[in-house]
Amino acid sequence: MVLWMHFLKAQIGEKVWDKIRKQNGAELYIIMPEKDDEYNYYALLYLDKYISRKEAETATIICSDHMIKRVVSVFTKNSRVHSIYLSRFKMECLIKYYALYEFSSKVTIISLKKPYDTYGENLLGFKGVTKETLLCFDIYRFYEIPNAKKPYYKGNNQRIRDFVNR
Amino acid sequence: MEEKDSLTDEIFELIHEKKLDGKKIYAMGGIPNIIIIQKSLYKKGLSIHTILDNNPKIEGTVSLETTQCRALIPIHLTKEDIETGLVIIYSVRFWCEMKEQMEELGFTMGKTLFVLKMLTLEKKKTYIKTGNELYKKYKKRYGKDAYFFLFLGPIGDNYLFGGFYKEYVRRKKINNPVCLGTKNTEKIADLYDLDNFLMITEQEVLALEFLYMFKCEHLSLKILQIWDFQFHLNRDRIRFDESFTFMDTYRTYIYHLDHNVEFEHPVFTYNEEKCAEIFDGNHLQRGKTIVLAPYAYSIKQRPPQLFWLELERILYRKGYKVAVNINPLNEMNFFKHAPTLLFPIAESVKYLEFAGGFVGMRSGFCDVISSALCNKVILYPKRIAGHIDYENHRPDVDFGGLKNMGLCSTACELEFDNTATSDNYWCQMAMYIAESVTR
Repeated sequence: MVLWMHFLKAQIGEKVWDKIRKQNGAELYIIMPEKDDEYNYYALLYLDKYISRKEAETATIICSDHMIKRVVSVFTKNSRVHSIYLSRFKMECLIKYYALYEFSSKVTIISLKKPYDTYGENLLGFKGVTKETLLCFDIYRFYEIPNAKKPYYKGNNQRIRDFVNR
Repeated sequence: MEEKDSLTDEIFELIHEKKLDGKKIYAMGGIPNIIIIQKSLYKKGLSIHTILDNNPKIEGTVSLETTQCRALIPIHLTKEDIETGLVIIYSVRFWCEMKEQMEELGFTMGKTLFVLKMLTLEKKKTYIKTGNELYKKYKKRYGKDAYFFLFLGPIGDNYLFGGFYKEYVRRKKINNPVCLGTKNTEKIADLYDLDNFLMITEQEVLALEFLYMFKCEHLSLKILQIWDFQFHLNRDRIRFDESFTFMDTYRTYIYHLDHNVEFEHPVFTYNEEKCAEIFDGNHLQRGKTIVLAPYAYSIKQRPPQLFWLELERILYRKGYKVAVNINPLNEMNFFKHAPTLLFPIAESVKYLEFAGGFVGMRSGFCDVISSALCNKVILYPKRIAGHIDYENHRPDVDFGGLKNMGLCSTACELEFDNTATSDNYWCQMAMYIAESVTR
C-alpha cells in the first residue's frame, strides 16, 4: 500500500475519533483493535481497577466485536462505562490515526502489535510472562497484577461462555 | 547540544513575538528540561515564576542548579494564577497529557499555553514522508532484499545490540543486512563488522522511527532501541521486573533469541606504540595505572566528589598512577592531579589492560570494557527494597550487574548507599575500593 493510502486511512480515523469524542466526552477511551480474546478478557477483568487508578469517572470501550460490547456489563457494574462498536475498517483507520499522531492521552490501546509491534510479545513465555502480565504491566501500566474477582456467565451464548468463564 | 539550541530559539521566538509579555511564566516538564527553559529565559531577562508538577513530593521549592524555584501541583493553581499566567511545556514523553491537563484548567494553546518541540500532526506527516523517501532511497541503493537495522542510543546500548546482531542475522537468514546508526554506532561499527554501516542524522533516525510507527508491517526495518520515548504505544515495562536482567532486554525482548544464545564480545585491538606514547606523555605507568570514570548518565545517584578525591589520594599513596576517563565536552575533570585519558572506544579494552585497573560508575562504557582483563571495580547505587522504576531504567546490580548479565565473571561489583552523608562512610568506601582494584 502506497503512503498516501495510509494517510487517507489516518484522515478517516481522525474523523472517526472526532465523532467518538464529541458523542462520548469520556475521561478514558479503551480501544480494542485485536481479535485476541485473551488481551480483551484481561482488559475487561481489570477495567475497574484501571479506571480507579486513572482517577477517572467515565470510560468508553471501543471495539469491533459485538460480543465484547455485550459482555462489558458482566465485568463492570459501573454505569458510567459505555461501549461502542466500530466496523473493522473504521477501527483500522482509528488505529492508523493513532500511529500517525498521539491525539489524546486519554486513549489506551489494548494491543502490543497494533498499530506497530512494540516487541513486548517477544517476552511471552519468558520468565513467566503471560498475556495477563503484559496487559497489566505494559498496557494498563500497573505495578503488580491487581486482585480482581473473575466473573461467571450463566447464559446460553457459547461464545460468551468461552470468553468469560476461564 | 543541537536540541538545546533549537529549544532556546523556540523560546526566543516566543519572547520576540511578545507572547510572554506581562504574564507569570509557569513551566512544566522534567527538571533537566525546566533548567533549559530557565537558562533560555534568563538570557532575555525573564525567569520561571512557578514549576508545575503533578508529583506532590516536589511541591514547595525546587533547586534548579544555582537557583531555587517555587513548585506547585497544577490543581493548586488559583483562578487568579490562571488568569495572570501562562504555561510553557517541554516533555518529549508527557507533552500530550500535560497539554490536555492545562487546557482543562483554562489555558489556551498559542495564547497562554506553549508546548516546546511539539510534534504536531503536520510535523509528523513531514517526518513520515521524509522517512518514506529515505527508505525508498536506501532500498534502491542496497537492493530490494535489503533489510535495515536501526541502531540508536548511547554507546552501551549500541555495544549490546552489536553482541547479538550477527546471530540474529544468521538465524533469520537475512541475506542483505544494512546497518543504519548514529555517531555512537559508528564507534562500534568496525568492532562488530556491522554490514553496510551507514551513519545517518538524528533527524533521519526520527523520520525512520515515525515511518515504522506508521506502516511497520510493510517495512524490512528492525528498530533496535524500541524503548525510545518517541514510541508512544505501550512501551514495555515488564523487562524491568524482579527476575529480569538487562541482558534479557537485548537477547529476548529486542532480538527474540533463545535463552542459550551467548553474547558475543568483539575482538579489541589497539596501536600499542601510540598507547605507550600517550601514557608516557601523561606520566602514567603500564600496569600501575588506575582509570577512574566518575560519571554515568543513567544513574542519578552519585558518590560525592570527596569519595573520588579520597580514592585518588589513596591510589597515589599506594604508588599507583591515576587517570580519568570523561567526555571533555560536557564532563569535568575535578581531580587534583589525575590527567584526562582519552582513547577510542574500539581500543578501550586494550587501554584498560595496558593501564591495569578501572574504577567506574555503572555506565554504558562498562558494557564496552566488560571483557577487559584487568582489575575492574564497578559501582552501583543500592536499591531501595521493592522499588523498581518501570518507566526509566534500573541501575541496580541485580539488573545491570556485569556478572548477572553474563558479560564477565571477574569484576568487583559494589553497591554504595547514596543516602550516606558521613565523610567517614565515603572514605572507608574509597579505602576498600583502592584495595580491591590494586589487588
